[in-house]
Amino acid sequence: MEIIDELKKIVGDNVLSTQEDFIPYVKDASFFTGTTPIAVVLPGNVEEVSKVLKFCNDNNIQVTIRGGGTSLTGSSILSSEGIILSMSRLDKILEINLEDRYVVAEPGVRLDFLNSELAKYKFFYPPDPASSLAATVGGSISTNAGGLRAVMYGATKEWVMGLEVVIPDGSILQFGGKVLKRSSGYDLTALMIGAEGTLGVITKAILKIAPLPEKTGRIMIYYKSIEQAGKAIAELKKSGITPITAEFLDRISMDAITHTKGIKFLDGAEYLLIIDITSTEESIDKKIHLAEDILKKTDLLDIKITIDPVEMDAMYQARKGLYSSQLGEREIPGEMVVIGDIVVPAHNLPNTLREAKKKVEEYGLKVALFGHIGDGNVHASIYANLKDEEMMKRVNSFMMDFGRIALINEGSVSAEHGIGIEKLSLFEEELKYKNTLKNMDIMKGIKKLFDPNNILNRGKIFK
Amino acid sequence: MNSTKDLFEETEKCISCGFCEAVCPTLPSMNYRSIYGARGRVLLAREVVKNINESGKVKLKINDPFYTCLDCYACFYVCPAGVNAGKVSEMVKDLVTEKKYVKKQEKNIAKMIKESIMKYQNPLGIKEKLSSWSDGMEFNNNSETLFYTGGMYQLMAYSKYLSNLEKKINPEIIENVADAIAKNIGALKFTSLMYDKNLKDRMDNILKSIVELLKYSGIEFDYLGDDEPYSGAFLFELGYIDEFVEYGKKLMDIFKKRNISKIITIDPHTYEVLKSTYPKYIKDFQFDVHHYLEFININNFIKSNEKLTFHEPCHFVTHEKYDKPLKFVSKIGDVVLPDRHGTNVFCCGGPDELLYPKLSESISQKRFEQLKTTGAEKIVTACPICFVNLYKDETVYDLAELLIKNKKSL
Repeated sequence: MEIIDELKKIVGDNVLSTQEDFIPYVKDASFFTGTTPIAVVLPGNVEEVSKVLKFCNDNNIQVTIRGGGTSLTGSSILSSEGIILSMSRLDKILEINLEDRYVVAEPGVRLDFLNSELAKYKFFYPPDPASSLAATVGGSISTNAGGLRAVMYGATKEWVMGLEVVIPDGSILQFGGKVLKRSSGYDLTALMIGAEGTLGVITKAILKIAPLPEKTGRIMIYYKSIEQAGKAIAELKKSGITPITAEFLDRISMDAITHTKGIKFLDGAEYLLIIDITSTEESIDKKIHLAEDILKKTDLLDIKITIDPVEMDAMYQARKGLYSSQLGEREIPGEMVVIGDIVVPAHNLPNTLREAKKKVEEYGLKVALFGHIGDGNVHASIYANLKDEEMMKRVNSFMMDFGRIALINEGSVSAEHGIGIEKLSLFEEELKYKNTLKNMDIMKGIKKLFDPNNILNRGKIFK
Repeated sequence: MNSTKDLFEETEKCISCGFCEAVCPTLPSMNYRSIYGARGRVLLAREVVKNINESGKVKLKINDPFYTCLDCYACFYVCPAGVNAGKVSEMVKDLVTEKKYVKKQEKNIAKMIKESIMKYQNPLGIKEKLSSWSDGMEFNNNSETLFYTGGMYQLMAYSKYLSNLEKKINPEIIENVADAIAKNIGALKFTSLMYDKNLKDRMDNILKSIVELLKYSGIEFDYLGDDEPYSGAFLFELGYIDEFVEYGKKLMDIFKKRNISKIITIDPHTYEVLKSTYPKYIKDFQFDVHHYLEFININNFIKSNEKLTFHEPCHFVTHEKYDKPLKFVSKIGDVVLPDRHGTNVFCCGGPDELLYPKLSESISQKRFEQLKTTGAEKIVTACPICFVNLYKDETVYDLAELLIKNKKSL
């Protein structure tokens, strides 16, 4: 049996089978290179997805599902022989319902496009991973993507009401629905969030939406010590003010932006907090000044406030442009910026950052620390030459230690990037540390129910 | 000639984040086949370099993914790593036409166009057919300022006819015919009989409007009429860099012999190639190059109540950062821009019109729908290629047509 011919019977010409066509599909945004696929299949509707999965299940062909290909942990590349199932052609917004505040979207819809359409009605879908330009509805659900606004709105799991899912035997299932309340058995919708395509293929999503904030103000505060920065955000939250975003940058991150974008930051400051606060047109000034009064009680170096859109945009560039600035600091061709992603309860941030900084010095690596301080999510951007084996050993070892710091501080080894290939050992480490390795058995049991032949995204999440 | 080292350095910066393919107009129109999107092209080009370094020859079939690239540069403006997939495509097309590492992958239509430009100073060999719009008009033959159309507006009536014809024929047959014509380029002259009459009249009127606007502003200039050569932009866009340089030198000599010091261009492709591209490759190509709107006083126009949307030409907005056309559109109407605008522009699909007419049609249809969604009464363009590709109903206008309507009387 010729696999490609059989797949063509299902999706026509939307099967890619040339050496040239395979090249982009062995890469995603991680530093891994996947196995070259047997074929890349681009279904155009749920029936085609169902038939492709059934065919692969019957013939024990591994399937890796791909959305925007923005995974930082290697979730969307093959780890052994199989096919890539690209969901790109399912790219329609099917329904926008403002009355019940939901949108129905296909998995290939990109998040920024979704939000540009919702903005026409003054609504938005809050999860906003840094990759939102390219990241898709299906992919972001599968990794439970977070982003800057998670401090106020939570991660993706808070926003998924229902899903249409195809499982390997070809069954088309409906999980959840268009209602906010549901008390009918296990929450199978939740099970799919963060499953990284190991349980089924998402073919439709019902997502909650929210009204766009009326007015936003921005506060930038410089600190010498990370303890004070951590304290600032804790005090703010204790007072009842929840920022929409609360980001921090370390000095390396600030310098990277200065070198590449020309934006200057306060000399002598080690940390910068960028805090956005939202309110109504009438009360934004009052709320911002209330926040200012609270923040001024911390041991800060300088504070700046604005609600001016032009000034705010300049500050926004400081954060949004950070990754690009960090890339601009690469010194040799082919050097990558490998991003670590841990999360701890916000009150443990000062300790976490202090230990992370110590570890960076121990390893002698060039690492920038930054992240979403409001929800305790810390990223470490590590400059890594993939061709330097000795260096990559140190990078991997640092990543393990970085994850352990999260565990010691009551957190998790993965905040918003998933497990993929990259964090297989770290995930096991987390369960061991928490003395709950049994979780892995339960997960494997669930996997077996959905995917008894283990065809879906083999080699991801579990070793 | 670009070096493989340049290509290596550009593609090695890529981190495969996929931002570029999210804005690439060709990807959705190619059913999301990744090598027809910006990220796919960069990763494919990386393999091309690897092939060259390992064996001195490229074994991959690479022509279509790179020739379909529209060169709109929208990808460059969203790339966090600073990679320009448009430039990557330009470099690979250069490798294809050079034929040193890549054998037998040159597109025959491209080859035919190249042969025609080199022999007849015109992509379709019809230079002498393109000046009739100016019959009866007077120009200042002693002026050192040249009104230079490059034949762009005039060619559209012919290229549109040909691309419509191509859509009905198997692409393989077209490639074979193009190959035969390229070998006997005189045969291309048959195209002089194949044009869209209504489009020709419309284009002629746009040209007359532009001249009227310049004269209204008191500008004096010469026009080369039947002798006016094509700019050579297509040679660059199709990867014929050596021929582009050779042709540019000839063009330079023509201008110098006529004592031309200042050149007024009227479309984005000609503007860019004369102002920026030739000077990069030919040291002495130094003329004072302008777009016609630079000579026109914006205060000479009145604002209407019309709701207008503007399709910004890629070569103005992403290549040259030239924004005068938008300022003029804003002067004469209430502008509502489409979601994709500025450096995030969505190309009209025009650059693919002759080589990939069906793809071009699919992209232009998407762009037309985006422009329609704005609810504007009129769609305004400032490039003949954009105009022709977006001209799907009677709401589409060239900026010069509206400026003429909205000018204050002297």
